[in-house]
Amino acid sequence: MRERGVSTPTRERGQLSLSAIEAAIGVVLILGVAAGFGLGLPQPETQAAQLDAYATDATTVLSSEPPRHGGATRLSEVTRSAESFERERDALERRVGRILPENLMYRLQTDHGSVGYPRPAGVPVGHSTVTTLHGEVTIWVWYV
Amino acid sequence: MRRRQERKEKRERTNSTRRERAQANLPVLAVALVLLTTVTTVSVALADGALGSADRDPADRRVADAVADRLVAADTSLTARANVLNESQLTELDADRLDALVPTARDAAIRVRVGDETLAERGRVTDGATVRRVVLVTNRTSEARTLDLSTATTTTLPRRTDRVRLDIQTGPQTTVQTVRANDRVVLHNESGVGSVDGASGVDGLDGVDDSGELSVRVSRYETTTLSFETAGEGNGNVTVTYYPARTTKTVVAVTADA
Repeated sequence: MRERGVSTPTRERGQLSLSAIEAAIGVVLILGVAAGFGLGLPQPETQAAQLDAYATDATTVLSSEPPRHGGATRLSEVTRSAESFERERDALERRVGRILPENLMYRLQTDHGSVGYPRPAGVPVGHSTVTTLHGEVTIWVWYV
Repeated sequence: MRRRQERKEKRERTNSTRRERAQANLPVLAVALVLLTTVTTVSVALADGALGSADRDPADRRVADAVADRLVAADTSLTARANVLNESQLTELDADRLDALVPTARDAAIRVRVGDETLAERGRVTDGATVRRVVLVTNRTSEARTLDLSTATTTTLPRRTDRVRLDIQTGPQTTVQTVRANDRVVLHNESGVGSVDGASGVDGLDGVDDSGELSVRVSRYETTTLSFETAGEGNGNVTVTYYPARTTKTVVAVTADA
């Protein structure tokens, strides 16, 4: 009769229990999935909507402002010609900087040129476009 | 016989390693299953908590958006035009007026802050969504100047205004027949622009208003020069009241907790 597992060992060999290995692999897999949840889910896109609201407000305020010298509104004065744009450029930059809150940077583009900071890539940017008598004016805003 | 002996010895040698080989046995299997189940349950609880805390609260943001839109809209009693709020109306804003302004937000707790102060608060706002809008707050004052018609018949107003009120006092032999604003005729009447026998306004918007005074609308985008044409001796004076606006920029923050 053969008895299983009863004999003299020829040499000692340590071996792992197969169940322990399987359990360990399973635990590692499940903990990996849990770590994905623990690291955080993606934030909802509220920043883009708020930035769009800021940009729309800026264009609305600018498009109904009285001009500094002549023209219908401030924006139409700025977009009328290249000379008037150059003349009003600093005042426009100061005015837009004062309209927008402190934590925003902006870029305002007209047909004759742009004022503001260069647009960054990879951050949420809000924009708004308004049409004046002499062309379109677009503003982009983003958080500092 | 001998071969059977050899086979038996060989079997014993392979049997001999089997005892030290670990094999799956029931207690270890049970422990492994319990461990796996425990880890799975804990992970599911963690995931549920993470998902619950990442709840986006669309109702909060929707209500805040709606209230902010109504506050800066162009055609409400609170605003003079789009994104420009009337300061006198703004100081009277409270929870009831907010209800009348935005009827769809009646069930939510709302707080409206302008600049650094809280204007209106209804309900308890713990942590809702906040929407910010850039607005101008305008405050209209009134200033007056008097023009003596015997010395000059034109006057230029130093501040831009959108309407002008005229109080014309002439001698008995003088009538003011035409009033021009920036070369545009705004009042004209052969028997005097202030007389009661007919309308003086040229475009139907100017003329004698409800309080019995002459009121003229001018453009707020340019400086106004008023000129008067008289018939007769030309003495009298005109008191011109104009309403310059002072605007300051602020940020309106609406927090809603639905």
